[in-house]
Amino acid sequence: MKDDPSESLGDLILKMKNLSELTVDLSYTALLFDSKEIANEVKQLEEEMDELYYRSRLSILERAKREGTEPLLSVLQVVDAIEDITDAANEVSEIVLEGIDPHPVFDIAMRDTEDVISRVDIDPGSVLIDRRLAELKLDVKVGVDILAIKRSGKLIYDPGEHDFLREGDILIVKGSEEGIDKLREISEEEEDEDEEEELTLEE
Amino acid sequence: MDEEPVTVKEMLIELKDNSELAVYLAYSALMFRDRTIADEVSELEEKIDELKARMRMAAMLSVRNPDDAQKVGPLLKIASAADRISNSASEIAELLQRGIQIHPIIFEALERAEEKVARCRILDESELVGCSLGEADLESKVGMMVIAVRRSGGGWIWGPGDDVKISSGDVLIARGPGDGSMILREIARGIRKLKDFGGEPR
Repeated sequence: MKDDPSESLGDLILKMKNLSELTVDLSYTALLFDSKEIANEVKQLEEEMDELYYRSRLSILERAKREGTEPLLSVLQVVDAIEDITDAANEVSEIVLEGIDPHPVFDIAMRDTEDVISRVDIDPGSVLIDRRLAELKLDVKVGVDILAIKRSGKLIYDPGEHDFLREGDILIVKGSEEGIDKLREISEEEEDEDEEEELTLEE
Repeated sequence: MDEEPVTVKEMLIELKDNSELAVYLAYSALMFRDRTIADEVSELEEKIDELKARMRMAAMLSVRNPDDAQKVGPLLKIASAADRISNSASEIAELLQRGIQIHPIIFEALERAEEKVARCRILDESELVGCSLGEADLESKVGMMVIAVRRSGGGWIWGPGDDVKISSGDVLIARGPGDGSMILREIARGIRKLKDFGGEPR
């Protein structure tokens, strides 16, 4: 989908918006949890944003040829702002990568927030493999939100209900520690005939 | 202005919450074509300006030696970045405030987003009146997370905890799926009941 040449300007704007929200969310999290791993994700997202920003500007210019420049000004202002939001968010998490000793306040701040962000790996044989998010309802059942799925080096951000989980996926999740532990437990369950039952037990 | 954060920790959390909220609200303002939400983004932006100034002051006052100076560097960087995030968010919101012609492709794109932000006023008829957010449990019943409450008497509660009681006239800002937004607005107006979505308030 990323490399679809017929991708419309609307698609680009929507992707950029989702990406910017995710980046802001993750960047503060990287900082509060002093997580280089998440900070690196943010860095990758920011690079992806640069690419989307470039393509959106091309698309805007292309449209301006047909529609004239003035109607496209608002679009330009929006994509500029979105790119800048992501860039600034990256600055937040860069602090983590720069290896500066985090101010002790971060540790305290971390303990005060209820939600944590963590990664959950989908290992071979997991009962979660080839399940649709709509069917798993992890947000309702274990109170965990999937912010992004990392699959073969690419990040699927803000996955929708229709997305499936696959073997080898790395989930970036947000939720309470208990919720995330629960999700890990479920994920580690091997697929067998009782799977349906086990999943409903999590209700 | 309501109670002000005192410690650096509180200021950091305020910076984080407010800049995140500014981004969500900026997109919602555009999506709803709602000037009042845009105005809220501007207010948040000003609040962050002020927080940034206070953070700077606190940082400067706390420095007694080069070691301290190195420690406050990252804090200042965060404050600047949060400020930049909110400035950009308010540039998005400004499109509505300045009455600039907004290209329909923007609305079309934002309307397709799976997650929506809802803004609703609680009317007397709503069963939410008198409930705490924990009792209402909107997150698991209708999938909506309340990110802010504006009190009818003025003043915001950002990232409200479970113990915050909802009163008539409060404005809730919540995010979640599109269906959830619609349902929440109806519950706020008393047209629908929570029991249709997994039980009455606890």
